[in-house]
Amino acid sequence: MISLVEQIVVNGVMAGLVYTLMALGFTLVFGIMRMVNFAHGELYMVGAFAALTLHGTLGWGYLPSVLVATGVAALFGAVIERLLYRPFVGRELGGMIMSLAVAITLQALAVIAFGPAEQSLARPLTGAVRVHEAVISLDRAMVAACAVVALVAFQLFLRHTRLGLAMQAVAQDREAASLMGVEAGAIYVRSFAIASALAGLAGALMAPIYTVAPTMGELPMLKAFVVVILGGLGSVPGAMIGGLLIGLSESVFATLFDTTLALIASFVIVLSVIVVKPSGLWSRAAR
Amino acid sequence: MRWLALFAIAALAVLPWVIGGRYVLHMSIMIAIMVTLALGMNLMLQIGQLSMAHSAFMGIGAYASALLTMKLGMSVLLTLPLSALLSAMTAALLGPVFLRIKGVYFVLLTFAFGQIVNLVFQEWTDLFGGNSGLHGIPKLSAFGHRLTDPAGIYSVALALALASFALVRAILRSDIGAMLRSLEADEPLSRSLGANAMAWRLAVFVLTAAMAGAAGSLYAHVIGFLSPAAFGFGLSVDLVVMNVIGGAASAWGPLLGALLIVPLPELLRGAKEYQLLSYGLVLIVFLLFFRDGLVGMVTALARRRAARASSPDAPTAPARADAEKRAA
Amino acid sequence: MSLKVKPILALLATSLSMSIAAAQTLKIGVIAPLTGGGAPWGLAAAEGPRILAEEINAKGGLAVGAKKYKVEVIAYDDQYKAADAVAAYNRLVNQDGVKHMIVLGSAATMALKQQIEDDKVVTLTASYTGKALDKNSHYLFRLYSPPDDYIGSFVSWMKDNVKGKRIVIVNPNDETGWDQTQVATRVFKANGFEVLGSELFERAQKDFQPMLTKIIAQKPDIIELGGTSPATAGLVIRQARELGYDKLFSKTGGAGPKDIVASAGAKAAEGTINMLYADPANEGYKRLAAAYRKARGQEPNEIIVSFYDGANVLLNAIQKADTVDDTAKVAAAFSKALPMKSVQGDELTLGGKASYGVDAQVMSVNYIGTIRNGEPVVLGKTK
Repeated sequence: MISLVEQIVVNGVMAGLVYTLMALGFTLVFGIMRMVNFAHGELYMVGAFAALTLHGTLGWGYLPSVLVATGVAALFGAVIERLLYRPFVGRELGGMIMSLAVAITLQALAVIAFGPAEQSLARPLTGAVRVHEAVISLDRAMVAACAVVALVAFQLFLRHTRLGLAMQAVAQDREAASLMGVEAGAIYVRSFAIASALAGLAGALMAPIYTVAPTMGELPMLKAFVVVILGGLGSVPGAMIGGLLIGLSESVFATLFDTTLALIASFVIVLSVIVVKPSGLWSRAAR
Repeated sequence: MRWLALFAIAALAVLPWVIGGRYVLHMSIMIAIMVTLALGMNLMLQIGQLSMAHSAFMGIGAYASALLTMKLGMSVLLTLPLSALLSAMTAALLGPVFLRIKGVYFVLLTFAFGQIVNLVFQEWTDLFGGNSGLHGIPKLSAFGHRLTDPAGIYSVALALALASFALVRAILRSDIGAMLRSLEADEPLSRSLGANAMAWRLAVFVLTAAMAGAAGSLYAHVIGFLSPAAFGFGLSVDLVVMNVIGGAASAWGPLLGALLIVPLPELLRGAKEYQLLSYGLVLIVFLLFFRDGLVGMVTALARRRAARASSPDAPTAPARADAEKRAA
Repeated sequence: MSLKVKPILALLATSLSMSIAAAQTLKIGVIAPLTGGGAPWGLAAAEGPRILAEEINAKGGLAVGAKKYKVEVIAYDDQYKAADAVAAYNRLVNQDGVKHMIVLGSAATMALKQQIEDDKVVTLTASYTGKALDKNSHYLFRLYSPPDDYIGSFVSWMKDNVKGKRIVIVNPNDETGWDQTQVATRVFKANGFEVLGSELFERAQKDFQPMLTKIIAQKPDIIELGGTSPATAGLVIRQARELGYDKLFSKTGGAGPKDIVASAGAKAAEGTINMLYADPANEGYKRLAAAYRKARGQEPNEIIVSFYDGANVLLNAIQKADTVDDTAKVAAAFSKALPMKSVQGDELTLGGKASYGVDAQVMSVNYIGTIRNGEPVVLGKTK
C-alpha cells in the first residue's frame, strides 16, 4: 500500500533537491555578477554528456565519472565567463542575450557531437526501498544524498573559505570589495565555475535517471528560473527553500491534476512574485 | 544614403513578384510577417524593455483569428483587425502592472507570461486543440473571394510589413521618439520635464502588441494550421536575434535582421546541424564585435567614407554612445 | 586507331548511351523529422525509400512504360513542426519538381492535406491520426495500418494469451494520443478487459512518479502504453517497477523494443507485450538493417520496413499507371498495385473504406512480440 500523500511528499522533496542544486548556481551568478544566464541548463547538459561519455562509453566507475563531469562543466563555465560574459559586466540585457547565444551554440555542439536522439546511461543502483508508506527508488535516493552533500559543502564553503567570503563581499558591494583588495574579475570566473559545477553535478547525477539528450537542459533551466525568482535572485537560502517548495507544489499539482497544470501554476507564482515583490520572498531589500 | 536604402528596400519588396514561384513567395510572406514582429520588438527595445511576451501576443492574435473564422464564420477582413485589437486589449490590461517592472525582471516577467499563455494553448484542448493544434483554418478571403494565390497573399503581408515599418520609423524620428529615448536615457529627468512615462510606455506596449496580433492572424490564415509550438520562447529568441544582428538603433535593423534570419534555414538545408551552430556563433560574434548590428556596420562605413571625402584627417564621429545604450 | 583508343571509345559510347537511357530521374520527396526527438523515425523514413531506390537503380532503374528512370529520394527536415513542413513541401514541389512524396508526422500531414489535393501530389503518410483520410482524399494514402485497424486483432490475441484483465491506458497528450486512448478503451472493453482509467502525459515529460503513483493505487494487471515513444515508455516502465509495480506492460502503439530496453533495463522490461513493425529474425528486415547500418553506422528503427514498403507500393503504382507525370493516374493505380508482398513476405492490401469512406490505406501486417532477456521475440501476427 502506498499512501498518496506520503508519496507526493517524497517525490516532491527528491525533485526539489535537484531543483535547488540547479537554482543555486543560477542565483549565485546573478547575485555576484548581476547576470541572468540562460545557458545554465546547457551546463547541466554538459555534465550529463560528460558522465555519459565517461561512465557509459569509456566504462569508468560511476562516482569518478560524476566528479570529473562536474569538473568538465566547471571548466566550460570558466571559459565561457572569461571569454564571452566578462564584456557584459554591468550590461544586464546584453549579457542575457549573450547567454541565449551561448545556449544555442552549446546545444548545437551537443547535437553535432552526440546526435539528436535520447541516449540512456546505465544506472549505478537499481531497486527501491520502502520508507513507511512511500517508495523511494535507490538511484534517486543517491541523487538526493549527493545533492544534500553538495549543498552542505557549498554552505560551508561560502561561510568559511576566503573565496566564499570574497564572493559574498562582491555580491554585496563590488566597489567596496575592490577597495578591500578583492579583485572582481578573479571572483567572477571562479563563481561562474562553481555555479557551472553545481549545474554539471546535477546533470551528471540525473543522467542515469532519465535520458541524455542535447535539449535536456531546457526543463531544469525553467525549474531553476522559477525557484530563483521565488527565492530571490541572489539569495542562497531563498534558492534552498524555494527549491523544496516548488518541488512539493509541482508534485501535488502533477499527481492530482497533470504536469502542464503544475507548470502553469509555477509560472503564475513567478508572475505574482515579480509583480508584487521582485526581489523574491527571501532576499534582503532591493539594492 | 537614405534614398539609396529606400530604393533598395523597394526593389527587394518587388523582387518576389518578379521571381515568382510559390517557394519564393511563401518565403517572402514569412519574412514580411517576421519583419512586423521584429519591428514591434525593436520599439520595445527603444524604451529599454526587452519583451518576451510578444510571441504570446502573436499567438493570441493567431488563435483568435482562426477561431473567429472557424467557429463564427467571420471574414478575415474582420478578424484580422479584431485579433490585433484583442492582443492590444490584453496588453492594455497587463501593461500597467507589467511595465512598472524594469530591466532584467521585466524580461523574466514577460518570459513567464509567454510561457503561461503557451501552456494554456497546450492545456485548453477543447478550445485550442492542444498540442495537435488547429487545422483547416480558412485561407485569406475578402468579399467572398478566396485569396489562394501566393502573389496576392504576399501583397497583404507586404502591406502589413510596410505599414509597420513606416509607423515605427515615423515614431522614432518624431518628437514621440525623442521622448521615448529620453525616458530610456534618464527617466527622472524627463519626468520632471513633464513626460508621463507610464502613459507613453503603455502606448508602445499596446501598439506593438497590436502589431504582433495582426501578424499572428495573417500567419494563421497563410499556414492554415496552428500549434502552440510556433508561439513559444523560440520565437522570442528569433526576434531578439533579428534585432541584434540587424541593429537595434533604428527601424532598419529589424528589417535587415528579418531578411537575413528567416531564409537562413532554407539556405542551410544541406547541413542542418550546422545551421544551429552557425546561428549561435554568428550571434556571439555580433554581440561581441558588432554591437550595432548590420545597420551599425553600414552607417559606420558610410560615415568613414564621408569623413575621408570631406577631409583626410577629419575625426571619425564617435556617435556610438547612443547606439551602445540600445544594445545594453 | 591505336589499340588503346578503341576500348576507350567503346566505353565512352556505352556509358553515353546508358546515361541517356537513365538520364530521366524520378524524384520522390520525403518530409520527416530528421533532427530532434523524432529523428530515429525520420531517418528511417528517409533511408527506407533510399535503400529501395539504390536497389532499383542498381538493376538499371525503374521501368515505366518504355523508359527507365533513376529513382532519387530527396528528404527534408520538418522537425515535427507544421510551418517547417509547409516550407519543405514548397521547396519539394516548386524547386525540386517533386510530384510524389512521403510524409511522416501528423502535424505535417494535417497542415499539407488540402495543399496536396490542390496540387495533385501523390502522398503517402505515416500519420496515425484518424483525420488524415476522408472522402476528399484522392491523392493522400496511408502507408500502413494504424492502431485503429490492427488493434482489434492485437487485443483479441491478448485476450487469449494474457492473464489479468484490469488495465489502465497511458498515452501522450496530443491528437495521436487521444485517438489511441479512445480506440484502445473501446477495443479492450469489447474484448472483456476492465478499463480502470486512462492517463495523458506531456511528450517532453520525464518524471512519471506522480502519474504512476495514481495508477498503481488502482491495482491494474496491465499498464498499456499506447503511442508513447519507446525511450519514454522505458522510463515509465522503470519508474513503475521502482514504485513496486510487478505486473504486465503492453504497448500497442509505435514500436522500438531496443529503446524500451535501453531506458528501462532488460530486467524491468522483461515480458512487455509490444507491437513490432518488423520481425528481427526475418530475412527481409535483416537485409534492410544491414543496408542502413552501412549508410548510417547505427541500428535503424524497425519502422524502416514500413517506409520501404510504402515507397515500393508507390513505385509499383507508378509502374502500373505507366506514367510519372500524370498523378491522377498514379493515384488511381494504387488499386492495381495492391495486393503485393511486403519486404518481410507478408501481404499488403488496399483498404480503409469502412473507416474512412475511401480505399486509401495500405493494410499491413504487424507483429505481436514480447521482450525476453532484452531482445524482442515475435509471438504472433495481426490480421
